[in-house]
Amino acid sequence: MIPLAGTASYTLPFVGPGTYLIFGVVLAPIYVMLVAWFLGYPRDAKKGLLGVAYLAGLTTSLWGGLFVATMVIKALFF
Amino acid sequence: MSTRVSDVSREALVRPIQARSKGFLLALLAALGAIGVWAFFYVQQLEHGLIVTNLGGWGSAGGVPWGLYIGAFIWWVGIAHGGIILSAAVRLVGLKTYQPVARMAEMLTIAALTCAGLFILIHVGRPDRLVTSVIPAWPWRVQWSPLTWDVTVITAYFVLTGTYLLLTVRYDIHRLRDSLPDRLEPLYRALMVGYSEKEDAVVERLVWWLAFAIIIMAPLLLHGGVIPWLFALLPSMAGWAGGVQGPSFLSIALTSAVSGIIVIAAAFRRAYGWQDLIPDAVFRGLAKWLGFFSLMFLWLQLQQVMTGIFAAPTSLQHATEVKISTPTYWLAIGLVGLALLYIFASALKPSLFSIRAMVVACLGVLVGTLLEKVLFVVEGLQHAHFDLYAGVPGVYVPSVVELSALLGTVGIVVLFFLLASKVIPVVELHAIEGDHEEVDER
Amino acid sequence: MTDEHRAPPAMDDPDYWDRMADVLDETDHDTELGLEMARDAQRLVAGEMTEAEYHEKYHDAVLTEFGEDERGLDLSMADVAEVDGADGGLTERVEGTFDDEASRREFVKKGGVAAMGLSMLLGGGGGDDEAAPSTAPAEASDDGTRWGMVINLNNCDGCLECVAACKGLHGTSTGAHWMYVMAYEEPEAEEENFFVRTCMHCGDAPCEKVCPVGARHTREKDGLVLSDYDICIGCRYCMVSCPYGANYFQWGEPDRPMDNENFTHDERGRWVDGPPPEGVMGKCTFEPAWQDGQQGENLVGTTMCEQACTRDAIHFGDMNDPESDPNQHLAAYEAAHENDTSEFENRPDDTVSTFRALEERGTDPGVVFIGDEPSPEARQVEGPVTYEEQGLVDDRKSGVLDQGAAANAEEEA
Repeated sequence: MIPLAGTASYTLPFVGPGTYLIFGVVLAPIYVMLVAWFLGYPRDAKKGLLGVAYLAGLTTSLWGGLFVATMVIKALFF
Repeated sequence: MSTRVSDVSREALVRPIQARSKGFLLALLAALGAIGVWAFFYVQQLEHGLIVTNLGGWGSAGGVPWGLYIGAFIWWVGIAHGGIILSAAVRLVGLKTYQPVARMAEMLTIAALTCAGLFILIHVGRPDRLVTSVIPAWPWRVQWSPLTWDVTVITAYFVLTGTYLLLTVRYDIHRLRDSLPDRLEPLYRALMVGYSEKEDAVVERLVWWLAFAIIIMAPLLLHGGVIPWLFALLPSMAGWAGGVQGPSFLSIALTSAVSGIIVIAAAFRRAYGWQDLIPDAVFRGLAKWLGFFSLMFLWLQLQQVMTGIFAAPTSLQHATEVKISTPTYWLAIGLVGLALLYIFASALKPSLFSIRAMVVACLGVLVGTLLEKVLFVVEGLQHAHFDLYAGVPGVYVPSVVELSALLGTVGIVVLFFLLASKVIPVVELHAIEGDHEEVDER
Repeated sequence: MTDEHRAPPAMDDPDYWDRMADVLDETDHDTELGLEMARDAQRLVAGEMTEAEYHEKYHDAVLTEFGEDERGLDLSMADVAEVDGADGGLTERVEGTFDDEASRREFVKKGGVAAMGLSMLLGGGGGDDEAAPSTAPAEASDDGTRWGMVINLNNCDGCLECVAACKGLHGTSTGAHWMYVMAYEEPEAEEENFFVRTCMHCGDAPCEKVCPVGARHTREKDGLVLSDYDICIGCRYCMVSCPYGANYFQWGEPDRPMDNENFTHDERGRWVDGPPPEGVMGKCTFEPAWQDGQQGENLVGTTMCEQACTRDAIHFGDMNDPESDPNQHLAAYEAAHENDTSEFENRPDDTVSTFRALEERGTDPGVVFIGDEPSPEARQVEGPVTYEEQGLVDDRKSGVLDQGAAANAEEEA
């Protein structure tokens, strides 16, 4: 199910266009932003970490909330 | 143009938080009612499956598997782009005129992205697996699947905007604490964790970079990127071809986003007597931007029509001919065109301009852009390259179940604003601070 | 009155064995080995020995004698595992023999292990020129197996038996035609043609690329493109991305939920066949459980539609193997339609038109068609046998519009 490399011509290799697109292009502004948060002036690493905490916390809350909702749906209807 | 927004009092700013009115209650009830209607129909769908919609399989079954749900999903993501456009205009380019509506626009982003996500939940056949199947597969599927890219970038946009809001609201809460309701004190304490006034300059810089990250990512790579790529990268449907889809989708997004902001700003201005806080200049300026984006939208539609009807490959020509002979398509074009005409006219003759007329035009644009997006999805599916099936195109008219979801998400956005406006100021404190005497600019 | 168990030719008849010994002496191979194997083959048929034991007992000797060992082809993997040594060598060898689909079907048709043993002895080791015996296991072809079809549209007459058989086997809901045959007309032509639409099991499948959860995947061992019913979230993106319209979504509860795991689950234990549960995508599978040998040796290398077709139109097999049934059919058909190169030498050898559907879309489809590709102007028409006559028409949509979701409970049209 997880081909690391296409051994036969018809299996998808692991690395695809999305690898470069997401990790190279789409997330690039976010990499730059994170670097700037911690390297620019006026600087405060604690505030940078607050920002990072918000990013992580919001992502977790978003998907965690969605997970709870889907589990409720599963219990009631599937 | 100098607006004396800086003369507006803080009392005006916190008016929504403190006021009680019958209008608010009515709006609340209407929003809850709309959500209730949708909930009723959604339960039907969960009980019986997607068979209750008017969707069907393309091919021998002669239907369309993607319809209003996906059209509305795209539409809400488009509307969500207003937040970053406004914030970027204010923070990156320094267009202070729009500062009074910047936070509203960001809140619209959060609400609209939530609705977009809801439409995905509603659209899939197995919503119970939406998290358990998607998350574990992400590291492998992000390498290939445009839908996984979509999920990734929408999550990123949501999280970045949410962080932006959470960081910028601290400045306001600190200075307006006395005017804020006591019973929400635990919430404010949580929002203000670790705050001291020394952080203001740092946070200004942090949010500058947030705005920078979002302005690159959201317009160019979300609604001008992974969303159109859902369609343009496929080998199956004739009408979805080409690199023009990126700019075309973006033009629609910006058009509907600015329309959404105008409507919401006008509603708040009307409800709380904010003629000084959100002066006419804001609406005139937004109207000009709307005019520009509408022009882009129509121009990019022209690109697609011309390349599709002149000497295009058979299947593309057929799909384009169908598009331009669909009355609904011309209704959508017409609604946007009318708004453009009105904006142009009032630019030539300013006395023609009124916020009320602008709101009507914007509602028309919102309807028109929704129609265009649904048509794009549905007509695309009705005209595949492989056109042999007699059953295709099948007829598709959105069912009551699907339409109720549209009503429900509008209700959710209204509800979100009603509740949020009671908790935090929907206009930034910076907007009434003149030359930002309290904070050093970056 | 019949014997309930008829012994094969006289197990203790000395004349029989003398005759066999004479036959074997005329070959280049070890007579003693042949006689021993034949005796044990009879014991096998009589139930005194299992196939796995038979295979294991003679494997080394057969390799030494013939350089390769193509027996043990109808063993189930469970049997093999039971008898296998710790190194799993027997398992490997049995798996390795699955490549030779044509000769296996030949053996199966001759009926049973006894015939297998005997034809092994009389026919000698297949095509092996090596003087030195090799103990290496039989090599799979370099490209591996790739299941596909050669469908001869010139032979198809639109009887729809394949469509009905597929539906009967897989239990798909009304209107979900995993196998679909279209009668069509070109604008200028007078006759109608037929297009037989299976899933193409593309080598570069867009449906696999776009699946956000990895439910739609290609099996590495044989190129089958399958849907995992436990993972699929029913987003229908595979249906949207497939240029052929091969996908079907389970809009409501399946008409005939199926839980025969021997058929619905392949050898990896994944749920990939039978009607999908509600809210999940399904399509033509080429019967992975059959190809894995779970339904018996007879069904490896064939599909339900191929079995049902009486017009010699559908040919399923390993497209990478020149000896496979589909490739042999194509070769034979081309040989039967030679071109006249007496005057012009550079003409193609045959007059047969073949195509892969929508090849320019870049999907690398696994089905080769003999016949003419429908043009962009082709339009589907009603064929000589209608879907109504076969009881295959879906009135789900009209039912829904009239009765709402209660149409689920309706009888099949």
